[in-house]
Amino acid sequence: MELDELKASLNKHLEQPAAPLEAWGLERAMQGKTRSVLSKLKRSVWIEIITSILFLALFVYEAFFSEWRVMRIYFGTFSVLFLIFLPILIVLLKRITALQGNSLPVKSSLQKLTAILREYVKRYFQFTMALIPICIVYAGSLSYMDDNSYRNPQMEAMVSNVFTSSTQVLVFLGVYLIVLAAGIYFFTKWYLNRLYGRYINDLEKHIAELESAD
Amino acid sequence: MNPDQAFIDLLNKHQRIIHKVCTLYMDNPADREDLFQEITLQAWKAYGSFRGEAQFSTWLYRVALNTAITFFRKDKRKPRMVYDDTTHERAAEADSHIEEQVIAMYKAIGELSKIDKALVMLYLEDYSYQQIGEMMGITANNVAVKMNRIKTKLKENSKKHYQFN
Repeated sequence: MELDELKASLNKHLEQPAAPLEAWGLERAMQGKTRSVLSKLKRSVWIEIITSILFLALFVYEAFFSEWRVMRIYFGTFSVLFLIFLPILIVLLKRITALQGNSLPVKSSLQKLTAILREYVKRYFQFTMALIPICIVYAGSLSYMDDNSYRNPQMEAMVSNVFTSSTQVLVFLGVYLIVLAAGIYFFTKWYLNRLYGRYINDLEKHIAELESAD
Repeated sequence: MNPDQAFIDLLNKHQRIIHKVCTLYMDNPADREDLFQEITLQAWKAYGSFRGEAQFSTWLYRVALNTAITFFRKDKRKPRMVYDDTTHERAAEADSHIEEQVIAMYKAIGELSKIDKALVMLYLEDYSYQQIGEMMGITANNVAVKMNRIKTKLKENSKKHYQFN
């Protein structure tokens, strides 16, 4: 049997709403909450923008008014990082809103959605990776730049009981930092892939299918 | 959200398009309801972009197909099939040769990819290859090639389902 032979019958069947949908009015549908990936992403970006602004205000305050010099440098660095990422988030939000309000051809729509998701994943990853050196290495070295106000004699006594030489301490710190950084790196990759990886792959398959000329 | 009456009226008039897309893409009534709601909401969000250059039905098809193709289900219950118990009941009532063929074809369409389903849907609506190409964002030649392949596939698969019935 051919598709063309059954065209009329197929159309008739497809147009009939299934039983539960008959009770479903447009008005009720309009009151619902959207479940699209783009809407979820938009919500996430909004939350990140608001949180970033709040933290930025706090960091800038600390950068200018903290009692300790290292804290001023530390929070100043964070402020710069947030100032870099905030416009990126705003641009992303604008792109999401523009795509939501459009009715593009299927292929363009898929390409734009994929690009937005890839961009989000890339920036999220970059931001997390940027935090590793700032939070661990940079913060650690800053504490040694200042006076001795941060020194903890009890902790130093404990460290000297465990390690017999400064080389051992340095090796331990090196290994600790590498393991921690690698852990954060792989966890972030895994987490982002779990969140959007499969979805992006599906979208890319659809694009490839559309592009293929068979 | 307070949709204006013009939009509600247009959507009411063309509601069959949304039902069609939901039936074709979702086998489960709950999923259909979700998709129905999602398409309605997405259409409302995109309504500002409707300039009246194209027909509302063409515009709605584009929104509905974009939503259905990118729709993300919470879980993966089972492969999507357009055939369900309701269709089966209808067929049993009618008990005709044609009905069985239609069901077999339904099953075959249900096995297609999301993109192929969209092409079949637009083809069933009697859109030209040029129009289908514009909606899908591909060339008319590409649509023609794909439709030939889909028709052959549907012929083979529906035959299998028909024999099985």
